[in-house]
Amino acid sequence: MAGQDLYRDDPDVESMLAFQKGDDQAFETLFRKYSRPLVNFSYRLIGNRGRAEEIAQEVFLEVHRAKSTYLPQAKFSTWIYRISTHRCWNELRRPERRLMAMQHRDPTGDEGDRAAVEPVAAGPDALQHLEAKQLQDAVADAVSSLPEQQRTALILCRYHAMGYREAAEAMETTESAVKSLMHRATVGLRDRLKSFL
Amino acid sequence: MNGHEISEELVAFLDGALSVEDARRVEKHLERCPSCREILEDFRRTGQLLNRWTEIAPSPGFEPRVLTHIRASETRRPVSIGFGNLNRWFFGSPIRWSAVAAGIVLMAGAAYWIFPLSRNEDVLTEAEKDEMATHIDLYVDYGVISHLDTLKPMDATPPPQGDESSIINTA
Ligand SMILES: [Zn+2]
Repeated sequence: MAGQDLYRDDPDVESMLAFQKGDDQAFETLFRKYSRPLVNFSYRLIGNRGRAEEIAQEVFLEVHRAKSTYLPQAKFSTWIYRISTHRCWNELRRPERRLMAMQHRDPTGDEGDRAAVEPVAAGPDALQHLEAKQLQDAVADAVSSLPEQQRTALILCRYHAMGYREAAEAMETTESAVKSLMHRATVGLRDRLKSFL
Repeated sequence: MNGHEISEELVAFLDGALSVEDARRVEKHLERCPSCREILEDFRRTGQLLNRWTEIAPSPGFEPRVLTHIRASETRRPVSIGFGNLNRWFFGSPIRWSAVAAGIVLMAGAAYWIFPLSRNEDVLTEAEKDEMATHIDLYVDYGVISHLDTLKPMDATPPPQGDESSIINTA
């Protein structure tokens, strides 16, 4: 297959093909490599930690079920982020979600991590922690308030180190569309984060 | 034409996503345009600010829980029948359908008792069982436990038999 040859040098494609041949360990390798990035991808996109973990689980289930039909036609990362993107977009379009669309990040959903930057005692360190937390919240709110397409492109490119072309493949759009989304997203963030620049 | 429209290219310029010619055009404009240089600097700092939104760690037990869920649902997944004729024969007549379905239920029931090794507990490694025991509440929350056939419901805790309860009972 031409497609298989094209992505032969992607080690993750290698792992997926090994899994296809019955190597279950190869699936676990992929799982361990991508589980945390995918949870973070969904979390940043939909803002709810519990749902983000469920979506990551659904994505891996889909990868597992693709065992017999998998045919490499893209880098493995592009493929798995494409699946994740679709699932997140579906999640965002669920009617009950629209009601709370502006309440992006579930405040109870990331308590554990927020607690980690909470000041434990008064003092210069505590102040620094508080400032870091405020800045983190401001950035998270600013990203969360971007329109869905801009947010997706931005998260793929800025938090998952994708180039415009790979992001375009994951979003099933064109490179020039991603370029435009990235411009608008950055302008939007600059305006929202002006006081921190 | 003042050339400021290159400001729309500045994010792509920072991302190294422009062609060599386009990047050169942007650079040339930046050399003589302080206002576009300022925009460029704002975009650069905006990009840096994004690093302040740090990653979250998945909740405790996430990885083994998901692996267990995937193995459990794949073990339970019905194997699809690839023979078109058999499918047509099978679904063509409701009587045949119910007879075959009843047969399958009986065989599955028998297989369950004859081949206990195929049950889900054997899909787990020892480490994963330990992990599950540690975070058992999480597994219950996520419904993973419902996949584990062999876990029997715990006996209800008998009411305390001490003096206090007798006092309450007799009061
Ligand atoms: Zn200019």
